[in-house]
Amino acid sequence: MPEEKSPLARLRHDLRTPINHIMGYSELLAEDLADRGVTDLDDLNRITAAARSLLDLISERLSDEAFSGITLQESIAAKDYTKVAGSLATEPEEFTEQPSPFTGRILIVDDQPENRNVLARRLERQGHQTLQAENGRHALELLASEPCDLILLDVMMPEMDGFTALGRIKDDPALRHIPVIMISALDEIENVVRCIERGAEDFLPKPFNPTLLRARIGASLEKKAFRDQEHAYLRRIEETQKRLEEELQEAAKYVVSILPEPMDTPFRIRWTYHPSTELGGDSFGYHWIDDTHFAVYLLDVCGHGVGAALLSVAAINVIRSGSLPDTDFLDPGQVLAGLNNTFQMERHNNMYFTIWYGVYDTESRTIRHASGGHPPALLLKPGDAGDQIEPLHAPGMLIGGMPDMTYQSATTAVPPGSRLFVYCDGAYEIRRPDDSMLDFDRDFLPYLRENGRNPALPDQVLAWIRDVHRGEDLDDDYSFIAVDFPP
Amino acid sequence: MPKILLVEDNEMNRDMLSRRLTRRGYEVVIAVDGQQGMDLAGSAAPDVILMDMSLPVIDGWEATRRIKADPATAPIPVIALTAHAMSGDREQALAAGCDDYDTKPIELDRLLGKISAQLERVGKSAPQN
Repeated sequence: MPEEKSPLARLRHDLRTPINHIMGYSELLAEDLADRGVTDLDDLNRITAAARSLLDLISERLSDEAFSGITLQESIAAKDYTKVAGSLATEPEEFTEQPSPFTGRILIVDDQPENRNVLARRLERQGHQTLQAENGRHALELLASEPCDLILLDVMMPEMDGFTALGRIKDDPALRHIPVIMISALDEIENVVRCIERGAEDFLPKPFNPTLLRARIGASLEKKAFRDQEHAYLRRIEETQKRLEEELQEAAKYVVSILPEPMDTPFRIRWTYHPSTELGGDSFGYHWIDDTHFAVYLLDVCGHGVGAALLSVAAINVIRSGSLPDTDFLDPGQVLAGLNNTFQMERHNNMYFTIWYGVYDTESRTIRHASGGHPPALLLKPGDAGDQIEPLHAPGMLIGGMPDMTYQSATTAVPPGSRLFVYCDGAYEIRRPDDSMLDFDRDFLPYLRENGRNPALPDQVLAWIRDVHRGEDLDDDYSFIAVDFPP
Repeated sequence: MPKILLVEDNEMNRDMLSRRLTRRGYEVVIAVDGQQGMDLAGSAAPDVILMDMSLPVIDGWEATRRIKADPATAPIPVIALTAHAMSGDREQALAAGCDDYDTKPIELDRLLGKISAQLERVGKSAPQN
């Protein structure tokens, strides 16, 4: 029984015959070469393998089972091959690309439209979007307006080749983050090396191996996705940091804004405040309690920064507004005891502070004062043998360490023409470059006795300790108030 | 030297297969269609016939039937070559009187094995190499 020559069978036969020729001649050539001792037949073997898979494809796609539709048989008979081509365009199941886990917009740059189209179809099946450009110049024009996650760049192209285009891309700050994979024939490997040195991420040899294509594109997009994410995080961190810095500056401005203005009558008061970071833990103030009583106070919260500043501002506001229950603000001991019970450290972020609080009585020309762990204020008094300096001691525990402490008030006479210095420990606890510390009795007091009449003493002391420290950046906050009592 | 009659209409297939068989020590006689195949089966006295089944004028099926119907040529082993292993091709080929069957693309070693099997069956031997 003769073979039924259906149109489909004829089509199969016509397609298979030239492929069989390719295979047959390849094998023949291989035998000839083997006779001559040539055994490195990689290319020939590749040709044979490719031909074999084409044959498989033809058998499968053009099987009678695949073409049960009569219309198609008829269109083959009528040599109307458009429908046949249409049905071949859908590839069978095992050739269908799985969607890639990392997809993106990929620019394909190749001067061969067939190459571009094949690549574009394949990439789109993997779930990517594609753009096409026919040479380097066209690619750069496209990149100026089209966002893109990955560039596949042919090396050999007319007008502008891949190497030149790569250079332009990598020199452009707006484009250089886009990964570039070079497309090249294997015999262009030296060009590929140049391209990778110039910033190309990888290369893909032509003809494309689908697995390799998928893997390299996937890897590139994955890396880019991580890089993009990293950049986004970095931007967010930078924004947050900027906002925090702005807020810190706002807070610092506020801390400074609650400090009192220098004053000239009836006392001349000058001060200098210099936090070691944006926000310090020092604050101070002075105000009239009544017509004859003038309070001066300075407190120093342990550490510095936001927490210290908040506590410092809270405490100074309590003193300024006189808002402690059952407390006579004329009595420094009562004020400190009240502050101690109000600002216990376990309720205030484990922070404590030291304070010096004094009340000057204009009638008795005395100053009543108490200290909560704070260095003594100093009274510079004019005397027959020149100025004398008297520390205003009144020992007491720091504020917030232990509840129900009592604080003793002491009273000191203030001779006309005296000068009062109130300051924090940051004014004298200064480390020299050789690691030794400035000494309160041997260095600080003599310096003040010597220079105590300088009208700009608060600034002068700061300049002096910076000089001792050999640096602008002090370790602690600096506050210094100088009060001149009238002669 | 065993003589093979290759009945094949495609010029390239003929050229290719004949050259490869010649290399392996066979003498190859060529026919380009079914009619010529039948004629040469009688006149050239081949030891084996390789019959392409899709031939013009008289196709391979018909030519085989006639060769097998003629007592003078009937003993010559015929190996059918079909374009592809479509199901049923083998049965059809054997039913048409073919002694064996192979498919294109030719795998030469496999085909050579079938040729020497047929030669042995009729008491002849394949070339040594």
